[in-house]
Amino acid sequence: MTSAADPASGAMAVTRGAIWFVEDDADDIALLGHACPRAGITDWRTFEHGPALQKHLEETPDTAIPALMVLDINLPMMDGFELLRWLRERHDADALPIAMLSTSRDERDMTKARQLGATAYFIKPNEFGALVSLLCQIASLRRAGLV
Amino acid sequence: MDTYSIDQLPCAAFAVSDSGYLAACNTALCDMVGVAAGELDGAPVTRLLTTASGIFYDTHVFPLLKLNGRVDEVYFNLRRADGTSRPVLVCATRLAAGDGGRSCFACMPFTEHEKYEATLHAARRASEAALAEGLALKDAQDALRAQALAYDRDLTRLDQRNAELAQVTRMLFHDLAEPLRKIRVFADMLADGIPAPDAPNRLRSAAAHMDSLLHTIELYVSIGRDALRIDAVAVEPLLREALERARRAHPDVRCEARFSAFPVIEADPFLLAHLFEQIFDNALKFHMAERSLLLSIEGTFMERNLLRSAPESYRYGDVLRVRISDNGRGFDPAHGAGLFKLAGKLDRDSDGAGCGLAICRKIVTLHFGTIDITARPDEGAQVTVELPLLHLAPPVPTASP
Repeated sequence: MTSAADPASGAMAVTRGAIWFVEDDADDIALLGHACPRAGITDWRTFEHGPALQKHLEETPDTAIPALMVLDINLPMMDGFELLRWLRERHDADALPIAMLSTSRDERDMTKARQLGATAYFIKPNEFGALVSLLCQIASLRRAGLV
Repeated sequence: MDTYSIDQLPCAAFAVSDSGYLAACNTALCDMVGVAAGELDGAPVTRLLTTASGIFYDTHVFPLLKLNGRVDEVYFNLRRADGTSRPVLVCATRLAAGDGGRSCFACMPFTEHEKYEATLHAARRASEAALAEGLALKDAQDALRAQALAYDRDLTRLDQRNAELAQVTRMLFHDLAEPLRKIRVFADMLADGIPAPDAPNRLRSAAAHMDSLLHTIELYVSIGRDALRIDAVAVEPLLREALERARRAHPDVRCEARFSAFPVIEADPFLLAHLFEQIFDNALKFHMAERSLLLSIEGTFMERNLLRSAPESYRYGDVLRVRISDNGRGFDPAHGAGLFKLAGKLDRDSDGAGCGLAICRKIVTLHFGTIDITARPDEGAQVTVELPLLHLAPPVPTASP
């Protein structure tokens, strides 16, 4: 169990469980590196695209799934929606919360994400402080009961 | 056996000596031409015939009788006493007898022939009119078909413009928004004094990315903005030059190419050269480092439905299929759906903005053709371009290497 300051409320937030991000963009990964510790997220990792995540899950079937997955939409080889569909065929929303994190403000993308079973949809913010706040919000979606 | 007089025959009959005089005429003949019995005996045969029939008798009928002994179904006009003529159908046989030959003629009245002829002429005129009408219908049908193709091409062009607009809009509002967001976030970090030593470089890189995207949009929009400059294009030399230009950009790649023979087609030579250079550039860029790049460039004629937009409509015509196969890195076909979109490249680390295949498709669609790409990972890719032969020029002989 780790804890960190919540920059939005100033209160201490208890965080637990791993978050896996599927993000191919080096700048966004660097931003996560700056923002995650400030949002109290210490157990996190990234996969650069869907097939890398699929390979990891298939090669290590006994690996516990994370407490939350965060998928970008605009990914190489298979987009975030295809990956979401693939994951939902294997894990329901109670077992694996999945949040979409994209620059797209398109209503159709949001609807499609909901229809495919995404737990939440977030738009990548334009300010660093907003990114840290958003990550706090995202962290709260983690599956309950994990320590 | 009983003997009967020629006057008992149910038709007009007469006999003519070889010297051209009437030797006998029956009653039916005299009645037919309106003279008294015996009045024609000993008269020249030409008195019985109109001038034209007389000439016909001298030049055709009599020589044939002498040659073959008989003549069947010839047509005479008998000269009547009242100055009119009477058409008859005649059969004749020649009897060789005594001091000279004689020919016997039997005449069947042929007065109904004008009615038959009139009927025949009417039928002929009707068939000619029907033919003309059929031709007019065919012309109208051809015009309609040409119009259908033109209409279909207008629709295809509109569909293409819509698709382009959607692509460019997506680039403006999504792809460009990405580097803009990063610039804002990293600038925000710098302004707030958050320690981020990588921020200046990331700012520069995001700005360069924006610049590259804007250049891509400009290039994509500019292709085909003006009308195509259609000209006769010798495809094989154009392919070879396009490969040479692409190879200059990848001097370290070992490459061997095999070309089949290609015809001359009508197309925009500048755009076609750009299309194939881009395809070769991709093949060279994504070669396997461990082996020489082998390129096979084949040309084949195919028959395809030229109507692209009208549902369930067919107008078959020839297309030139150009298939470019390589033994490069290929890709997993499951991930190839977005390749023809702007910024749809698979490998984000490769050079370029990922608009090459989008521009290829735009060029092919401007020619009302199709482009497709198939591949297998580590085995190679195959690009197939089909270009309709709108106005095929005579082929020129081409030599294979």
